Amino acid sequence: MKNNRVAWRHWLVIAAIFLAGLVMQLIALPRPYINSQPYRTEGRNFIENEIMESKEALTISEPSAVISVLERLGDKERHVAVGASLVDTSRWRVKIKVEDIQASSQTELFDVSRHSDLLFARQYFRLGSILSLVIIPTDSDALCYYFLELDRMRCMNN
Amino acid sequence: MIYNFRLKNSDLVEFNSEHCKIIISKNQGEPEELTLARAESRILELLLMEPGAICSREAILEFAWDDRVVSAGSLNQSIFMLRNVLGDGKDHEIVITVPRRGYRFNSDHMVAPSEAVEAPLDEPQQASPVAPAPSPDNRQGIGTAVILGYLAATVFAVLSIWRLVAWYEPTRELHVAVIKQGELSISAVGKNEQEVNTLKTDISNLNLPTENIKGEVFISRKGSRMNMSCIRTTGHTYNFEFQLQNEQLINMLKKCAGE
Repeated sequence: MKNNRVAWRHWLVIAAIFLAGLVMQLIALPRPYINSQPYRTEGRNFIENEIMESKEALTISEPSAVISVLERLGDKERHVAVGASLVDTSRWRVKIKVEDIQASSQTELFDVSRHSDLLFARQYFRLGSILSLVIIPTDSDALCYYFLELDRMRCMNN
Repeated sequence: MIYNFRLKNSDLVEFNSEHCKIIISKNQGEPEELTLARAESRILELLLMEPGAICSREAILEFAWDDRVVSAGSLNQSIFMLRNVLGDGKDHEIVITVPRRGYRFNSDHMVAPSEAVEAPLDEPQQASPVAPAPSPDNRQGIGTAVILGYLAATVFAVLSIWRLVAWYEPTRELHVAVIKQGELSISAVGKNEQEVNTLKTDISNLNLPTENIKGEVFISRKGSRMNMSCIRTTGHTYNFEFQLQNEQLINMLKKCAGE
């Protein structure tokens, strides 16, 4: 019957819309990072006449992430490992929730009374705190991000 | 499918669309059985599928005559015949003409199921449901189910598109201003656009001798403290944090990018 054919055409269009939506839902969206890929970097923190050397690593293995920092100031060393869960991910942002902190020492290597700004920035690394890493576009494979809460920028290579 | 409705004189009509028959149960006397022409039966069936709803002339032609091409006169003739059978030839109160749009069945003449059961008819089928739910696909090719289907598909599609848009939506909390100097790219980064532009101006005013400096450098400033992140041409990355009063930006840039 002619109008049955008309109805079928409608259902075909509806099915096509659903299919397109399904494809869009299932499509693998590009992550700003490579999953389970350890990113590493080195850094220097110039504190007056001293230089605090650091090595940092970030590994995002969905749905969790680990940030490790090894700091060295003179002959003193401190290691901090932060375990976090991914709260939200998009092309330009990764939101993490701090779930675990392991530090080799509770004492900072630098003089906290003289460098309170440094200390305060680190206060955000507390259990349960949510941190936003905003991705900075680069021309290479390096992962550059800015911690909104810490005002800390990092570029890391894999 | 059985449909029940009343004529203007309150006689109860049972219409069997499958057999193209109508049985008129009169208030007095024996029920009268009539056989409709196929086209008239189909027209009545289409109108009764959704009483009160307007059926266009095109939809009626399509439904009543299937694929056959017939003139508008055939439709007028069938409507005329149908109205005569239903005693509606004069004032068109049952099959109503909607000017320039089509026809509709007056839903006031429909009979509720309970009423049909109570009606003084001998026929056992009279308890059949009145105005059964129309098969939307059979009416004008588009019915409630199709509309709902379109709605659901649209909502699903919008959600899917929204997922993509949300995924790629750039963040507004961070601003980046890029300065390209030869093979060196310096980006001022910060949470405030004005601060970023000021930082960009400050960097531009340094007149950096960039011939030996290559790679990508990102600089942010928080108070007097600078954060510099570099991607060297080798692919390695370095991050410096320093006090601007103590260190010169150009020296830090050379160290970070690796002259």
